[in-house]
Amino acid sequence: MKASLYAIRLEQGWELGVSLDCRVDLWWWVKGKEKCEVDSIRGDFEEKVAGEGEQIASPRVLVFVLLSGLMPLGWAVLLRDGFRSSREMDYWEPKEWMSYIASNLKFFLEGDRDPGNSPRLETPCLLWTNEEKGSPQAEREQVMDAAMNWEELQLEAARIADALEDRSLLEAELQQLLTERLPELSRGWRSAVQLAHLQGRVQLTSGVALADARPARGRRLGRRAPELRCRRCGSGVHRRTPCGSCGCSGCAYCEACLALGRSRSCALLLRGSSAIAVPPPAPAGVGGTAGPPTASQLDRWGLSPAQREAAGAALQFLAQQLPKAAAPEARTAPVVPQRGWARLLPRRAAPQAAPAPASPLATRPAVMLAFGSAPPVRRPPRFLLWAVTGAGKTEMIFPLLGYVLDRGGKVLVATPRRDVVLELAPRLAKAFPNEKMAVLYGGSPQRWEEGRLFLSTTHQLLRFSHAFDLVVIDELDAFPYHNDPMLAYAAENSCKVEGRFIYLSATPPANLQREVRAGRLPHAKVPARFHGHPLPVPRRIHMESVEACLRRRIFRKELISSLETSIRRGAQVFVFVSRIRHIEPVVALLRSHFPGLPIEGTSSQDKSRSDHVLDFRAANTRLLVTTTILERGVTVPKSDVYILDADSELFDEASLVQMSGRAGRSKDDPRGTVVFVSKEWTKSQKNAMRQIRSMNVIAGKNGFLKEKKEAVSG
Amino acid sequence: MMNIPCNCAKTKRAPRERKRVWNQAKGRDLSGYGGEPGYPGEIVNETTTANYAMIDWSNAKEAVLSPLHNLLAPPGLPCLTCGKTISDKVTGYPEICSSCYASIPWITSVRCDICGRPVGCPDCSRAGKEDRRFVLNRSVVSYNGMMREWLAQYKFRGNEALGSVLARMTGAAAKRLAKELGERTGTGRFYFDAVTYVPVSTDRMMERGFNQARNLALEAANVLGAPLMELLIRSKHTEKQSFKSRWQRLRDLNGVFLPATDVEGLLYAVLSRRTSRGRGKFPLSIFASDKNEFGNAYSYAPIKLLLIDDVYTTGSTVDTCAAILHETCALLGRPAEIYSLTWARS
Repeated sequence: MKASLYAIRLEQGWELGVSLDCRVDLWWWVKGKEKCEVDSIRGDFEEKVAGEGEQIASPRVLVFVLLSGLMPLGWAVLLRDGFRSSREMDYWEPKEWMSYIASNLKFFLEGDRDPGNSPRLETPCLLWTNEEKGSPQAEREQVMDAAMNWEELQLEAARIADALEDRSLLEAELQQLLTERLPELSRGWRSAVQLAHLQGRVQLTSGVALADARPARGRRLGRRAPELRCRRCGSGVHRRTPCGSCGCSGCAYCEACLALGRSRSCALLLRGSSAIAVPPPAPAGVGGTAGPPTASQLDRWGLSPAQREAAGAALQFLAQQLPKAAAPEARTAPVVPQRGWARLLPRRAAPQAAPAPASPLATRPAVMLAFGSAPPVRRPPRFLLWAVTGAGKTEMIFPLLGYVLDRGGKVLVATPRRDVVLELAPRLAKAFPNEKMAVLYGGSPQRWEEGRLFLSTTHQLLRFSHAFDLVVIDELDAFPYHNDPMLAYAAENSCKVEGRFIYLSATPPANLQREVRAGRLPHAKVPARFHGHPLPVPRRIHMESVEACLRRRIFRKELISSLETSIRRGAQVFVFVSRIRHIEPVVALLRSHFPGLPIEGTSSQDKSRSDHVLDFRAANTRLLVTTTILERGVTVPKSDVYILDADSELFDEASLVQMSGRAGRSKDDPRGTVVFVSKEWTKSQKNAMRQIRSMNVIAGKNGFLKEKKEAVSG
Repeated sequence: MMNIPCNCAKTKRAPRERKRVWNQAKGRDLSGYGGEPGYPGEIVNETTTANYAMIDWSNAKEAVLSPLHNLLAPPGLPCLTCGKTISDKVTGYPEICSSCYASIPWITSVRCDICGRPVGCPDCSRAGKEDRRFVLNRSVVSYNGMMREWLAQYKFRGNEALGSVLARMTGAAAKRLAKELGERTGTGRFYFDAVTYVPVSTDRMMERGFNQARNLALEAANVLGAPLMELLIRSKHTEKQSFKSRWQRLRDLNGVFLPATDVEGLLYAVLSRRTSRGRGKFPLSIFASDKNEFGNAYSYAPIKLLLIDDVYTTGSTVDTCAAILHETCALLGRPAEIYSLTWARS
């Protein structure tokens, strides 16, 4: 889309502004700002300074120059974010402003393959100068007042800002939200959003922008070329196409987050923040004045001793006070002497005559500060709950959610997979019956609902910005969250700076494990399952690769006899293979070995996958051949696990541990059989074995195991 | 001494992950927003203090070797449509994998000579020949579920990378169409005077940022060597065609398309181009006085236009556009022949 760009001269210096509706800006800077500030923004601050109210007259605009009525939004945002006020701008004529704009847009203009087609720069024009009252300007003020119903617009702006609070939305998403929640605003939202932006409640930027908005002064050797980044998902952006919406011939769009609507250079990205009027003296949710957690908070959830200890540690973490954050350094705008815009101003309106109250910089709203150009100074503290498979992770997060919710905080439980979201929703709803819960996933009907308890897929986090006091990420190491920097960025962005992260995993990724070992990541281990039995330790059967077995149409006797034992004892048997193409022949071969036994195979390409799993759970199928898609999130009572080709490079340590974790999950049959069938004894198998054993040892030492005996390998 | 890029040392990656990360990391720096941004505790590679205990040498080896490995044996790119790594490339379509390419439902033989359907067509016999204002339609693929998904990815999601694939498919089909028409006329070669496309409304353009039909037409024009011209505009925005019945479609399209403002100038350009081509064929004409007359006579032949759209369902859009094009050509006193080429035939 296109937007307007204007420059204003305040007492402190020049500022650039991007506008969706320039009338609102002009009114705001000339008249409205004082009114609105008295009305709403100051709040109790005003009382303190009521005596000197006269002096705090907000900075009136001296000159308002419309640099461009309509320019591609990406250009306008680039110019605004990279803007530095300087003294000589007071003397600039339209020509100089134009050359300033052209030189700062070099990046975009250079990238144009077809410069003839790109939008032309307009000549700047003066819209307003501050003159004495009684001049024609006063009449214009009246015209301005009459142009719009400003009171109503303020109300609309407040409503839109409330709806946008904590969210990060593209224009299309905003329109969906408006049609659902504020249908009366779906037409005139531009003006309302612009006013909310001027009030500092909504940040207005473009979907894709330069990573470093400020143009470098001079060329240094080895300096990286300017790089485009998606401001919603943080990915680098490389694809630029001609765009009919802004008229650029090289408008960049982000390919990484296409699934949630297209973020591009000229796409409007809005980020709502809470009202300025309520600066949080102490984080509303956690830390601060919140009391220490008590045992009673843990009692109501009926946790096992192992769960209880870990949940207690996590609660301690939540209650910890954050070290005092250094106040963000205010960008000191150069205070320029009152010179006025000498040549463009009419002669008689001597700029020196303008009233020069020493307006404190602090009253300046933060709206004009560069948006998102600096990386966040600090990340929210993180905590890892390392709980073995079948430990009951979900129950453990209930006390944590309850703790934050009780203190008025906003919490989010995110998980990479949609089916897990759908499975968790009723359990969470049951645990917190009084809390309004929003369940978010692609196509969820509750997408725009408000609440304090959110359950979502990790992709949906892209739609939030600094929203939550506690973010719990379940199955941290699962696809697609694992190794996707976009989702990590989204998660980090969705959490308040003073908020907390809690990661849940049975198999944390290597970098987190390393941080745990180095003592850099606070964590709690839950080494035992809720039923107090040790994890089944894998046994190994030596066999040539599945490929070879299929060629010779025979499995090794050892494997067959082991499978027979499992089937005899009435267990459900998982057989994991590394390749989808192996499923069919393995099923056929096993059927020939076990005639009459119901054997099925399923994979990600299986349309009736859920039916097959249900059949298996109900013991209609006794043996299920599958791939890593069933490695997590599946609980089948009384099951044994066989992993063929355990030396395959597709099975890393984490998936071996997860697959082993399918066995022995129920109270009735806590000791399942796990067998690694492989030709080579690889590092992943070794490490998986070691991890399982060490968890059993820790559990034994801490007395979480019912039978006090050392875990033995088979 | 330990200038090990910490983002590479992040984790010991399984090969499949390495491929993914390689794809993501191409030309960009992961450290800025990924696992390890500027968090002071995590920076291992500061030169000031050397904490040996913190260095995991197995990862250091990985950190050095894996970029080297990627350099020497770059992992394949993911397929644009299915996301799997491309193992064997298809000539002409390097973005998609061979299994995706194999499942494209190309229309190789048409059953209906008019609308280009690969199956028997009751519509064309019903509508009657006089009604139809275009000569024929040809389509590249059948509009099955997979093609629907591709088009949705391109058109509605805005995945413009897919656009070039669809455009190339259309370009190849345009070539086939020209060949077919050439054989039919018996002259061997068939020239279109211009290629044009079904326009989108201004609102749609603002929202979407591109016109999918134009992108397809651009490639077709390229292949055919004919000029691409914007002869039509869409005056009002209609609801999605896909939700409407046949009768509604015909009614709603009334007055939607208009000739573009400078359409006469464009068509004159077409004619002059053609005369010059005609002259090129007979450079040594001795009848200098007849030359002009010959050129005129030649230009009374119908103007042959190729109209491009993304999907042909009932043909109502193509037909409406063809009607407008006929009217405009009639203003110039020339008959017109409109041929239609769409990417998909439902």
